[in-house]
Amino acid sequence: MKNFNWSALVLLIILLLVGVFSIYTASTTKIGDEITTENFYIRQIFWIFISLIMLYIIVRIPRQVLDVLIVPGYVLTVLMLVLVLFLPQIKGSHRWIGMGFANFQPSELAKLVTILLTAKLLSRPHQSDWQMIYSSLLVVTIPALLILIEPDLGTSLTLFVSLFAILMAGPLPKFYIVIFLSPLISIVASFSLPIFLVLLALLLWYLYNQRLGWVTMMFIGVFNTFVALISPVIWHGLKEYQQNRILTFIDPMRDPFGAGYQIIQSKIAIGSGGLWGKGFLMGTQKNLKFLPEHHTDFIFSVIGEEFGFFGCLIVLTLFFLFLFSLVRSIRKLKRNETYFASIGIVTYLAFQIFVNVGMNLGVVPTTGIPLPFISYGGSNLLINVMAVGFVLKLINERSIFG
Amino acid sequence: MKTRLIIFSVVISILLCVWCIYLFVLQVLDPHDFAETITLRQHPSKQINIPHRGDILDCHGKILVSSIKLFQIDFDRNLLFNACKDDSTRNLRSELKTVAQIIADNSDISRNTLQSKLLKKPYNTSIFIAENIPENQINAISARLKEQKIPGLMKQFCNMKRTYSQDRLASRLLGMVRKTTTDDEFAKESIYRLKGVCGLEATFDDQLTGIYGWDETIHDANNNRIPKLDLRHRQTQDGHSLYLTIDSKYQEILEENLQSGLKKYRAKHAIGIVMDCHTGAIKAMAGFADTDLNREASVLRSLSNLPVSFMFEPGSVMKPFVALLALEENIYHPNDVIDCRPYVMPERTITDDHEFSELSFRDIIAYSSNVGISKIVEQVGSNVLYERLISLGFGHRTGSNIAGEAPGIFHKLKDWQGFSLHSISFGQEISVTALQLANAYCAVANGGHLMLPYIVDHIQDQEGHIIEQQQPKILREVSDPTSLDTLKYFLKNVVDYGTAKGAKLDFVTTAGKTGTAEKIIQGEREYSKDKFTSVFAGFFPVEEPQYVIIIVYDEANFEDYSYYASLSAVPTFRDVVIDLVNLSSSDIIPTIRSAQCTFVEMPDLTGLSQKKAEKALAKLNIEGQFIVKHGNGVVVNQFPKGGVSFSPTNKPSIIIGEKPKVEDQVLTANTMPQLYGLTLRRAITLARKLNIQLKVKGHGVIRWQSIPSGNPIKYGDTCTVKAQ
Repeated sequence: MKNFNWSALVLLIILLLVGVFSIYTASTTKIGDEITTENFYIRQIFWIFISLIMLYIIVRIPRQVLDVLIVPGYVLTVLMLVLVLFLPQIKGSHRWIGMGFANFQPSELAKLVTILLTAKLLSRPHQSDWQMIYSSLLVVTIPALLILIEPDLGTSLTLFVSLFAILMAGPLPKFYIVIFLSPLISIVASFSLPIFLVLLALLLWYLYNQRLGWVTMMFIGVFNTFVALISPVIWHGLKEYQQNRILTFIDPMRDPFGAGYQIIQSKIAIGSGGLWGKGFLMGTQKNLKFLPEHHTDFIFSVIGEEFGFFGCLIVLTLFFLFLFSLVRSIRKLKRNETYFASIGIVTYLAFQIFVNVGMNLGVVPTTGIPLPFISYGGSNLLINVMAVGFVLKLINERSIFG
Repeated sequence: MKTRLIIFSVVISILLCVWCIYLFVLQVLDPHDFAETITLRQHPSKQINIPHRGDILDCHGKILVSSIKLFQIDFDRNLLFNACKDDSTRNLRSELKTVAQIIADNSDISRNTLQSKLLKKPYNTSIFIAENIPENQINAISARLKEQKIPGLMKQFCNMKRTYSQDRLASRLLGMVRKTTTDDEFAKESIYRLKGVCGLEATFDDQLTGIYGWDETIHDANNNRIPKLDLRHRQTQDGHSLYLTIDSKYQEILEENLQSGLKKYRAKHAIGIVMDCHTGAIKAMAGFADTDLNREASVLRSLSNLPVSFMFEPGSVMKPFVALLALEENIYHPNDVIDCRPYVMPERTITDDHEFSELSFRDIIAYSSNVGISKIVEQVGSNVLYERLISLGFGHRTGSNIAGEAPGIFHKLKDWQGFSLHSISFGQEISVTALQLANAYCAVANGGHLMLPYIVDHIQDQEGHIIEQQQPKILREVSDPTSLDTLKYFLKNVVDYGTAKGAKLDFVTTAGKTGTAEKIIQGEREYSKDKFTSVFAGFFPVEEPQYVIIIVYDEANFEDYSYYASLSAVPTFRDVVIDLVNLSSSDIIPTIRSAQCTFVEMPDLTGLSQKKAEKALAKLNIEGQFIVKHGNGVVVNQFPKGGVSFSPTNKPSIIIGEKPKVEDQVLTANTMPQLYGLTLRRAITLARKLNIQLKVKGHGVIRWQSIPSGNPIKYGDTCTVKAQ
């Protein structure tokens, strides 16, 4: 165990403990001298134990066993994602498979398995750039679409972001960043035709300078135009609540009691925390139930309200140190497969942290992404810790040749 | 690869830094003033608790008016929706149907209406069910819902209703309430309030309303109330209850009689008051207009309370007060005879309806002679009359505190004109209310104490503590008992043989005075010939007066002479007295009986010598008071007369006078003369004059006659006499 990244593990455990503590205060209602606590934090402790056991197993299990499991795991996950669509709705979406004591989210598993499979595919030798892109895109899109249908926009986005990070961290030339980002820019620009045309011209000029073939350039130009034309159509094809989320993201006051409600409430909670916060258990937004989902998606608001800027800074610093510690170790990985998998996993954790905090700050639309290691949630915690376990395992088992 | 990893780390660091900066701005710089926002949100709001408006009860504690709070109920289907979502065995639709069934079972709302309301989509909203639901129904509903474990019923105060247990009884007296709002400086909102706008509801509005209370509340996001210990609150103070002096039985009697009188005599208004003359407590008080019979009780409650608001010229009922002054000043004695022929003065001639030649003072009251009373009032003088009428309470409010009371009209002395003195003596040029009249007659009946009339006996709070107790209050003494005793007998004479014979009852003695006043034609200085106010002011029992009753009919029917007080107000008075006395709870007759239990029959002593009379009285244990006017005479008069029951505690007066000579007796047609003591010859002469046939037994002076003297006889009757 000489290569084992102990600091990352310690930081992970600290974060998990911060999580337990936050869940305790978030699920406690203090009114007057009367304190009522729901037992979420006990369940979280239970899940932490299970997760750490799983982490240990993953670190200890031979890599060959896991390699064999990746493809069947992927197929099984896709099947579960199909199955979950036929199960009854819980809270308005088909995300969970009820298992009596807990509800299991296949989409959580999908993130891990898809990243591992993508890394495996990309690390095959002798592939052209476009082969890599096509195969990985296919592997990611199947679960991502299924997850999108659930609907769970956040998780499917996470998958694409991770894929993008893997591709970018990998051997692909720089201009692919521009190629991948160009459709996003086109979507935003599609609402004003002159701006879109200027941007399209700039894009093509840049690609020409990178000496891309005419066919590729034509394809990218046509694709961007197509995206720009179809995005208004897709916009109207979006479900109303999704439209609302995007619109209220732009202007939360548009619907203060509906779609903007959560954003406004969490923003008020964080903002009213001030520098030092209101103190342990004293968060009024939470106590008076103004803050929804306060032990899951909006737990960061509770931290912000009760412990202020100081508390938030500590949590974010812990996250930063944890990610930094992982990235530092990843640098030493030589083999493509382990490198890609680690980058994907770190990206997916970082993305979740980034989006969740942004959501709590009212800057990012509410997408139902929990804060890793802190938010309450069995399967999410399990998968996140298992993902960290994978990274730790890969780092631990690296050889001089990677 | 290494550079890309560095870029990757930098991107992550930058993004986290962006959030940190944003957090700093949001939390420490606080541009949106969130710290302030949150205190505003936590600022407690006030929940107003409306006090219960006090009840009005009669003197026996029987509720006349009370109030019930009505609530609006809403149903928050969201709670049930969530409950059904958590429990798969429950079906929302069927649960909502159960709710409809439960509410329909316990209220007047139909099940179908409720179902259509409850099953309106979307299901997870709160809906309005109904308003004006009384509390007991809501309690029943919520108990049933609790059994079924159905959450979501919400109640909210919406209204308060006054309920009248006796329907129309005393409607004009009780008055009505109107929904208003008062502004509250703390709550910054209008507060529901019922305000008394007329009648007793208005007079005692402050006591009845109570003081609203409030609770500071904090609500959470689901609008659930958070029970927090350190919140302030103000106790709601429910309105106090009024315990009236009104006896609802008396009130019923008075109203029934007035209403039937109103129809019978086709009058415009009928007004009556029953007042306890010793305390000034008003036991019953009613007034109706002819249109009232078709009106809703709620309309009646908004109308004026006639016994205190309706002013009328009282007419002859004022005469006793003039007589009282004459008695006090000893200007006339009851038996003084006054010339009552039409009284011709330079610019005015005072006449009577029935012309009298001459009447004794007491008969002037008994037969109600305007001429007679005018002559008496001339002796009394305007100063004395003015002052006395003022002190009897005429011309100003009585102080009863009843809303809408009129002061009456009584001109100041300096404004009196040439004939004011005469006019006022028989009740013109003065307007009074029934209450003023009743109060003045109370003073006559109770021995000269002018009482403060009152209608609220005590005010009691909801816990039963008496807040305010009204004690009978003597405002002033207005006369001396001796003169009043005489006046009382004058008034008894009115009933015994005068204008109010109709009010004579054989089981209780009554006294009073009628008044039939011509009404002034509106806008003219002239009296109407066919519109009258018929008044009777009376009290009973005469010996120990308990109640004063005033009955007034305004514009009673002219054609059938109902306008004569003796034909309208007097019969009503009589009926009221009969009903009052016959009440099972009445203690009037037993009082009289207990006073009479030692009554003895006074023997006829006439003609006996003083010694014989003393013997006769001694037999019955009566001590007589002998007034000897003639040393060696016989009893010429006695009081009480022979055959009359009386209480021996009052010494009978026996007057010894000169023995009357039988020869001197004046013969009256159809009346048996006294033959006793006459010589036979003289008797025969008398008998012949009166066409009586005498059967004589014996000789000498007549000692016995078969028909007693004074008995009525017919032409040709036979009388047997024994002589010795």
